Amino acid sequence: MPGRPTVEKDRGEAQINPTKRTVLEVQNLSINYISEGKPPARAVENVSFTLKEGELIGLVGESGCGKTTLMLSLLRLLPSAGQIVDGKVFFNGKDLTTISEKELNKIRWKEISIVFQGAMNALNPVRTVGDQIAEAITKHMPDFPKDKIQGRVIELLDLVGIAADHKEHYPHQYSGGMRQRAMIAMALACNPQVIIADEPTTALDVMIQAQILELLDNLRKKLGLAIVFVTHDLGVVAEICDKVLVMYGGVTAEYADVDTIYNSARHPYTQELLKAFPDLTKPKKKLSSIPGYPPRLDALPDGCRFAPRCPVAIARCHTEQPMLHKLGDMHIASCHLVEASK
Amino acid sequence: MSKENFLEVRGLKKYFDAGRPALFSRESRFVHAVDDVSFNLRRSEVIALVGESGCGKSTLSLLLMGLEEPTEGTISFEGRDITHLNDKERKGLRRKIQMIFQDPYESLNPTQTIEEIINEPLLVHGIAPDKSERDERVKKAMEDAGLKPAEVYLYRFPHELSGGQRQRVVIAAALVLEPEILLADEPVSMLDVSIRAEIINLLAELRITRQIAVIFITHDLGSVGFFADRVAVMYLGRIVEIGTMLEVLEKPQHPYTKALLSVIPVPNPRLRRERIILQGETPNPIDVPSGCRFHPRCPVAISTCKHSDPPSITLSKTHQASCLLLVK
Repeated sequence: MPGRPTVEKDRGEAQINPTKRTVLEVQNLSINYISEGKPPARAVENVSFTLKEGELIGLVGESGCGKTTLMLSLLRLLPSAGQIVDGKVFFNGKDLTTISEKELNKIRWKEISIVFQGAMNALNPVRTVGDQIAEAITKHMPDFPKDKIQGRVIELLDLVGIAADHKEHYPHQYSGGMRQRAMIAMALACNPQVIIADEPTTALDVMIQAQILELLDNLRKKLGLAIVFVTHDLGVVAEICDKVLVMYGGVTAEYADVDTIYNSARHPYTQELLKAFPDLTKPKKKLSSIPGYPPRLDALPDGCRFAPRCPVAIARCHTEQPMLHKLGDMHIASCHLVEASK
Repeated sequence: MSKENFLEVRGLKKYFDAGRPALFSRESRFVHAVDDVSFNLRRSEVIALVGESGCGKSTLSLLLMGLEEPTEGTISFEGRDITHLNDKERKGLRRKIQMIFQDPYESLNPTQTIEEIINEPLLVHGIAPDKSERDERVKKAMEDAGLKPAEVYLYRFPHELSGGQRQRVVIAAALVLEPEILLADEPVSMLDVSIRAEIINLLAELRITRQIAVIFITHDLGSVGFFADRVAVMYLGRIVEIGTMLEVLEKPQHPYTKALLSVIPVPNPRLRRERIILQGETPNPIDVPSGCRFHPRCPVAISTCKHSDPPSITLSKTHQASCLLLVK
């Protein structure tokens, strides 16, 4: 395919190399929402993770767990009330929380791009899809030769599996799955190293979801893309992710490689979430739900944020917030019970 | 009345007029939304209707509710033909067949309290003219829907409730009429995973405590497991496979069912398996493919599939599938 090798040449080697380069490193990130006359809402607290080339990390949690806030903060896209109060975000060694807006603009979309949630509504209905992808190219790479733009658009569409003749079509002529593909094409416009995908398959049918997952998986293999996959669906994560960060009420509940999460999870929240998920291999099994609701940011419990819903909480859980306990090379859980059994 | 013909659907078709393809075309084209669907529902049975968007499952639910007139075929309820009814007859019937919609964020009136929302169906149907009796019914419906104690929720507004609680309000508003069939159109797809199980368990409980039959419409075969007695898989307006839950989930026979099952995410990376990913999307129901309607996307289609429409093959007393490869 024309044009594609330029991308592979840059990043192809790292695929073979077992010691992959770290692309994104988030260290102890904390974000508050400030509103007048109220104490700050601690939306994200002390979250860390690393992402290497070609890796796919799943950011999992229920609505309101801070996953979208965390994702937006990586590129400092938070609304003005949201402030990074602590921590660092390193991208290829550069701290994105402190560099100037001008420098950050060189990274936004060109190096780290986002596939936004709700592909159904994220495209402009009165402009053709090809036009909108072309805009992403000209906007972020003003020096891109004008005569090559249309070729690049076709190449991008091809990369996500859309035939070139759909270039002149409007979003309403696209199906949901195709719109999501177009959004991915747009995110790929400047050959980024990292893609943040915010619930990219949530509103889609299972078959289309499988197609999109396959596409993302192929893209990261082909282009060495690192992907942050934000979702509430643990099943989707199990299918393609390398590691998983489970968030609850703004804090890390558990962070580990995908096999550990699914086969030896230590945090009760992770364990309960797994039980709530229908398992096709045991169709007769009754589903269990987690009673209660996630905490509201303005009324966080004193102790562990999961304690009010936790089936195994002890007295200490209600008064003292658990620390992040390291359980292995790549396994962290924040639970008092983990500490006791360590 | 025999248990078998509680709700019976025979050869149901719904074609929507899609207009003439060109100005001087003689004939209109039609969207074959529901194309010859037959099944029956027993009292307090749960049947899951599964399929991708555009397979006609929502049109089928509208036909069952009497919100659309079928083009052909019959629907009978408790032995009585209810295919074509006038408004008055229809209203009486609606008490018995109630619907739960997909999005609890949009199906509740934001200016009404929970009490008003659940009370309204009683007023509309003129049931329980006595206020104290109505209050009693509202409370009972709320507690059956898991909004306990009812007093806590009565005077709240929808925005004060979480998604799961709202869906319970929607269910309570259906229960208050004491229906015999609940038609649930994707009742959990808008909810978080941890809450989904709760709502499914609630519906499973209701069919036992209230003897309610449930038609559970979903695109997710994974969520029907423990809850459904039978599963019907729809493709392009037709049921391609129907059987008991275990027959369909463990011994699927139609290639479409097999593909649908293979792409359901399994929450265990050690069990990652070969996924049969069908390319493209459900074809336009205006131009239904010739022969077997699934053949253009079928991974195992043979040449005859292009020309002959497969009959429904009986695999067991309860299990049928429409595929030429099953013809012996």
